[in-house]
This record gives sequence, C-alpha cells and structure tokens, in this order.
Amino acid sequence: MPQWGMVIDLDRCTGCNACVAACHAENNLPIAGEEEAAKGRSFHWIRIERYIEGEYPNLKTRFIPVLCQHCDEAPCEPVCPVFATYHSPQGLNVQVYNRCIGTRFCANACPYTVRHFNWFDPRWPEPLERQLNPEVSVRTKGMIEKCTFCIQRIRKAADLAKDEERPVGDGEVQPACAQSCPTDAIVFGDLSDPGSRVSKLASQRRAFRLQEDLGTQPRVIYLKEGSE
Amino acid sequence: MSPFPVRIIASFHDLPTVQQALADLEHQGIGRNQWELFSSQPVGVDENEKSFIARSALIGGILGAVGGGGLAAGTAVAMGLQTGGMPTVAYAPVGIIVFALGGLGAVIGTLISFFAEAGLARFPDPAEAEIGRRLSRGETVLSVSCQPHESPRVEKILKLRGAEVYLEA
Amino acid sequence: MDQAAAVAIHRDLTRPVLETGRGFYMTLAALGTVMAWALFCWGYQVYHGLGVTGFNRPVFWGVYIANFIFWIGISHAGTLISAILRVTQAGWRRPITRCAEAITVLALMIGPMFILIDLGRSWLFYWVLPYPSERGLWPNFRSPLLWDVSCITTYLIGSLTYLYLPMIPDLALLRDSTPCRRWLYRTLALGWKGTPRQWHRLETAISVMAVLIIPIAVSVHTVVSWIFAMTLNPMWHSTIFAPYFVVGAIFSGIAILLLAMSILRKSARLEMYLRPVHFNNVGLLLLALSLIWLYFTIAEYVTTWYGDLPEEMAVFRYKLAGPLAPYFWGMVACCFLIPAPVLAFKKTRTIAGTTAAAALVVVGMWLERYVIVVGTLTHPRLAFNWRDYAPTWVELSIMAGAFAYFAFLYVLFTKLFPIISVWEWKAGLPSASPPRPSPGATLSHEPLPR
Repeated sequence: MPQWGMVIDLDRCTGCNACVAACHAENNLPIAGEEEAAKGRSFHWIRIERYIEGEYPNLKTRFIPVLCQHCDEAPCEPVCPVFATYHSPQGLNVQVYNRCIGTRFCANACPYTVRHFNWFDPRWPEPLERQLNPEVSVRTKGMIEKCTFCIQRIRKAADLAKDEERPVGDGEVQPACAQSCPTDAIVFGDLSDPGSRVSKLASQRRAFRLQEDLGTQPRVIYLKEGSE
Repeated sequence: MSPFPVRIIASFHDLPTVQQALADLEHQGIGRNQWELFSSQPVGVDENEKSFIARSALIGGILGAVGGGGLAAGTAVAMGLQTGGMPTVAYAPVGIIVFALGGLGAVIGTLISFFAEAGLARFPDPAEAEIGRRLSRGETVLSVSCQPHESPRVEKILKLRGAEVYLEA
Repeated sequence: MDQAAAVAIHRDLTRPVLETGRGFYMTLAALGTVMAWALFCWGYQVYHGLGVTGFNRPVFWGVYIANFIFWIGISHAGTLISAILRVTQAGWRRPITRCAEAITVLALMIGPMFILIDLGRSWLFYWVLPYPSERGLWPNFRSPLLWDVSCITTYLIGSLTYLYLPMIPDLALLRDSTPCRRWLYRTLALGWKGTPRQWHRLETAISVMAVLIIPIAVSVHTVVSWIFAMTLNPMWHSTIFAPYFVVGAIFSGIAILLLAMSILRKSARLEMYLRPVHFNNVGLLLLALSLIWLYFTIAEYVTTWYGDLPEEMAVFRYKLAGPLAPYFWGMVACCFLIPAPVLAFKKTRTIAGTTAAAALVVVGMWLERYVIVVGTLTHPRLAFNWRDYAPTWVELSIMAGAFAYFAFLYVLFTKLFPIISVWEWKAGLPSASPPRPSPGATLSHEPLPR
C-alpha cells in the first residue's frame, strides 16, 4: 500500500502563489471575497506564509507554503467527536464532510492552523461558479475542510493502475499544487518506495518537518534553503 | 381483606405524645403491625431491616461502569477502529467514560431503590388526603387498625393522650 | 414542635409560591423579551451560518465556548456547596441548599446549550450520541467532547435527583395545602405520606446522593478543562488546568449563590430565614476560594513566564499587556483585588458587602473564561496566522438571552416550588417540646414500642 507524502523545496519556492490558485480551481474552494478575507476567513488549503527578516532597508522575505501536513500522529483526529476526520491506511488525514457537525475542535487542535471552516454557504463570483470540478464535492456551511492531497487524483490513478493490473507509478499522481509549481518545488509521491523521487528528496540532509518537536509526525517534508 | 376491619385515625399535636400513646397501645396488645404513623417531620424509628439503597447504588455503579467500558472500548474493538497507528483502545478515555457512566448507574440505582423501598409513585386514597391536610398543619397522624371490639378501647387511649380522633371506618 | 411556629414557617416559605404580584409578571415579560430576541438571533445564525459571529481562522471559538465553561462552572454551586455542607452536617446549610441545587440544575440546562449554538451544523447535534444507525456512525470516545457529553449527562441526572429527593416532602405539603396547581404537586409528590419508613429511606437516599454527587461534580469541570488542556496549544496545554477549572467553578458557583440569596431575601421576603450569618458564612467560603483561585492563577502564569517559551510568551503577552489586558486585569481586580478585602473584614462582610463582592466575582470569572479561550486561539504556533477577535451583536445577544433564560427559569422555579426547604428548616429548629432536645433529633432517642 502506498504511503503518500510530499516534499517542498524552500530553496526553489518563489512565493508566486500558483499552487494556491491551482488548489482553488481543483478543489472547488469558495471565494471568501475581500471583506471576509479581511476578517480572516480566506479559504486556502495551501497558503504561502511570509516571514520578513531584518531591518529596513535590508529586508529578506522568506516563504513557506503550508498545507495540511497529514500527520501520522495528527492532533486533529482524536478530538473529533464524530469521527469526521480520521487516518486512512494510505497515510492520508481524511475529512468526511458529511459527518462533520462543525465543533471546530479539530481546527483549534491543529498546530499548523490549516483547517478551514465554512462560515457561510460557498460563493463564487461570476464566472467562477462555471468551472467547478465535478470530481470534488462542494461543501456547505458549517463544515470543516482542508487539503486532501487531491485524493480524487489519487483515486483516479489507482483505478487506472488497477485496470491495467500494475502498481501506481512514481510521478503518476500529481496534486494540483505540485502540477502547477513553476519551479518544481513541490514533489508528491510514495514515501514507502525508497526509489521514488519524493523518498530520495526526503532523505537529503536539508530535510526537516514543520514543528517536528511536537511529535505530530507530519507527512510533508520541507527542504531548507541552501545547497545540499 | 385485612384481619383488622376497623380503622381509627387520630391526629396529635406533637411526636412525644404519639410515643406515649403508642406505649399505651402496646400495653393493650396493639402491636406494630396494627398502626401506621404519618409525620411532616423526619421520624427516625428503629428500622431493623437494613436499607438496600447504598448497595443498590453500588450495584448500579458497577453495572454503569461495565456498560461504559463496553460502550467505549468494546465498540472500538468490535468495529476495528482505524486510528492511524494509535492503539485501537485508548485506556485513559475509556477510564473517563467508565467513571461517568458508573456515576450515572449509581444515581439511577439510588433513585430506583429509594422509590421501591419508600413505596412511592403510588397515589393516595381519599382517606389519606385528609391525613395530608393535617400534616400540612404541622400535626402528626396515627392510624390504628383493630378488631371492632377493640375500637372503643383504642379510641379512649388516643383521646386520653390528647388526640383528635376524626375518622372511624 | 410548636404548632404556631410550624404554621408560621409554612406560611412564610410557601408565600412566594402562593402569592403572585405584578412584579413577577413584569420580570418574566422583560426576561422573555430578551430571550425572544436571542432566539431570533440564533435562528439568524443557523440560517446564514456561523459567519455572522466574529469567529475567524484561527479564533474558531469565542464567546459561546467561554459561556459554556462559565455556566458549567456556575452549576458547581449547588452540589458542591450543598453536598459538602450536608456531608459535614453544617446546620446553617438549611435555608440555602435548595437555592443552590436549583442553580445547579438550571445552569446545567444553559451551559450545554452553548455547545449546541456553537456547532456549525446544530441540527446534527445528536450524532455525538451512541446509537446504532443506518449510516454506521459512532461517536469517538477519544474526543474530550464525548467525555463532556458523558460527564454532563451524569451530572445533570444526578443533580436533578439531588434537587428532587429533598423536595418530595415539600411537594407533598404543597399538594395537601395549596389551592392551586394541585395536579403538579400531586404528580411530583408521588404519593409521599411521611411514614417513618419513608423518612428513613429519604434520609438514606439523600446521604448516598450527597456522597455520589461530589466526585461527579469534580469530574465535570475536569473534563471541561481537558477540552483545552488536551490540545497542544500554548497556554492551554497545562497540567493544572483541571484543578484550576474546578476551583474556578466552585468560586463562581458560590458567587452566584450569594447573588441569588441576596435577591431572594428581598423579593421573596425571606429576611427571617436568610440571615446575616448565612451571608457571613458563604462569604467566608467565597474568600477562601478567592485565595485558592489566586494561588492557581499565579502558579499558572509564573511558570509560563519563567519558562519563556516563545509560543507561550506570545499568548502571555497578549493577555497581560496586549489587547486582552483590560480583560485580564479586570479579571484580577474582580476575582481578588476588590472582593478579597471586602470579604476579609468583618465590618464589610455584611449582606451588602458580600453581595457586591459576589457580583464582581461573577463578572471576573466570566472574564477568566473569555481570556483563556480567546487568548490562546489568537496566537497559534505559526505566527503568520495570528489574528484578533471581537464578538458581534449576534453573539452578545445570544449571551444576553442565556442570562435572561437562566433568570427566567429561576424565577419560575421559585414560583412553583418553595425555595427554602420547609421540612428541613422545621427539623432544624430547637423544639419547644422537652423530649426533642436538639435540632434534628428524632424519635429514635426513645425507640418506639414494637
């Protein structure tokens, strides 16, 4: 069984936000709008966090794309009273929308603040409502949602491989963010296969995981800036 | 059919006189099974039979705790919970549920045994409505059942002790 | 007992039940208006979604959850006061036990309501109950919310029982002496006759319940605190949260009890029964809890400050010197700085003094809950996501509605039932008749003939 994981090379990330836009399009994320975003209700399953270092005029901005880390020891999972979020055998942290009753306990328990709540029913400005992805369900008000590692794409690739009676090949599954990254900073694949690209990158000495000291065992591996 | 067809109901002003009256009745051979006392105040008579309430609370508590354990741990095992590497049964949370439902069982056990032992949840007959009215005025009511030939004697004793005999049936 | 005294007590204590003035209806109407407005606001929120509140990411919880903790805390008034006083056989408890137990039951009806209001999909609240369904859903007993569901259910049923049992003789009294609402008292009295056996069993059941309810009450605020302490969040993930919350709960419970006593004393004309000595004693309890609360607060904040972890200090500074500072220092002032001196001196520990101190403590403990919930949430570990929070009119209206609802239910309760236990009060009187020498003495001093 594949164990899905992701590597994000911070040395390559330019902070261009292409992954954010691609994720919106792929996963039917509602558009919060200017007013709601100002209230802190923007929807981004992946976001580019910006940290500014130094004093003006010697500033340096560093970017880090943060998405659901699909923790193996996820703090969000045990706190859900209705099992709306649970761990899949393939290592995904899965959110079952229809089960969610909206306690938002998971969102508070998440040390990465990557869970999003539908404050209203989803809205899209014209003509974005015409480009909804038919393979992804639209969420209604009162539910939590978050990055799924584009599970619909994983399913599709697994189905195809099953039809052709072969295992899913490396690089065959590409989440929208990885696919759209112009600098190829995001790589997705099977961490249990030592030959996969994601495994090789993850074994670099630059590799670290976000807030690793919390013991959450994230599935997203970052590569530090600088050379190997 | 009661072996004592006549029932005499009398009301007293305070408990001590009732005691004296009961002592007099005892002299005349009217035993414990022939009278009943009603009071608006706690009367701690010597109860030889032990109350089952504390034991019932304990039994209820044990049943509740077992039920809580079954609910929390049993169903997790039966359903084969997918927990992503964590153990299927988490002991501390099961302990909490066991505690909570054990407490619930104990409360319900107490309540049920109290109702059963105090003979509650049965509605009073009309004769007892008058008893209630007198109790609400702070009186103490004694009901004595006896044979027809005993009744004048009983009535006399009660009246000697200052009682108001208000019903004879 | 002296019959005249019995009649007088009976008259005094049942008067609020029998006589209804204009004030009663006006109070109910005013409270009802606030409640109706709050109900409208809740409907508005359910219809539009939780976006009508001030919540955002990362502050997913706010006033509602603060109120949840606050009301569950208030509910510790009855059981912990009245059970502990009963277990220790404190004679002065008699006029205040029922008053306190009623607060418990009613506050327990308000508290969990806030969880319901806070849910994104309130209409699916029953999914947290374990029942077999065609969807194969099952609650997750690992979740602290399920611990809350279990413990609060037990506590609600337990405290209802604990309120009801000592009330049965009084219900029978009302059944037999009241011209109105007989069907109600007749049903609730369950045919109580007052035989020696019933009295004996009642006292046994009450003492069993008094012992049972103490650990249950402690467990409730423990699991409430664990909602926060079980997460990894800075200044929530604390080992002393459970006892800290329990102490705070008892603290606020005693304060609400004092307020209720003070209001009842005037509105129900119970000056003869709720005397200065009761305010003095409960005031001393409040003072003790204020000191324990201060001790826990210092222990919590000083260790955080000395540890100086960056994530924790972000929250710490936000609370003590940031936008939450007025709330934090307001809390310190209301929970300790002002009430403690007032309660410490005999001269100020009067009815007015204790009432004022209690009112401050209620406010202070609400602020504490708010500061704990909001302070941590505004400062998650990844600093990019920090954000402030302010409640909207919807949240404040619903909160006002809850306070009105509590008052409404309490007023209704005092109208339907004697708020001071008639039989317990009578049993506590030194008797005029010689063979009953001490309060609570019974026939068992001279065993009945068998």
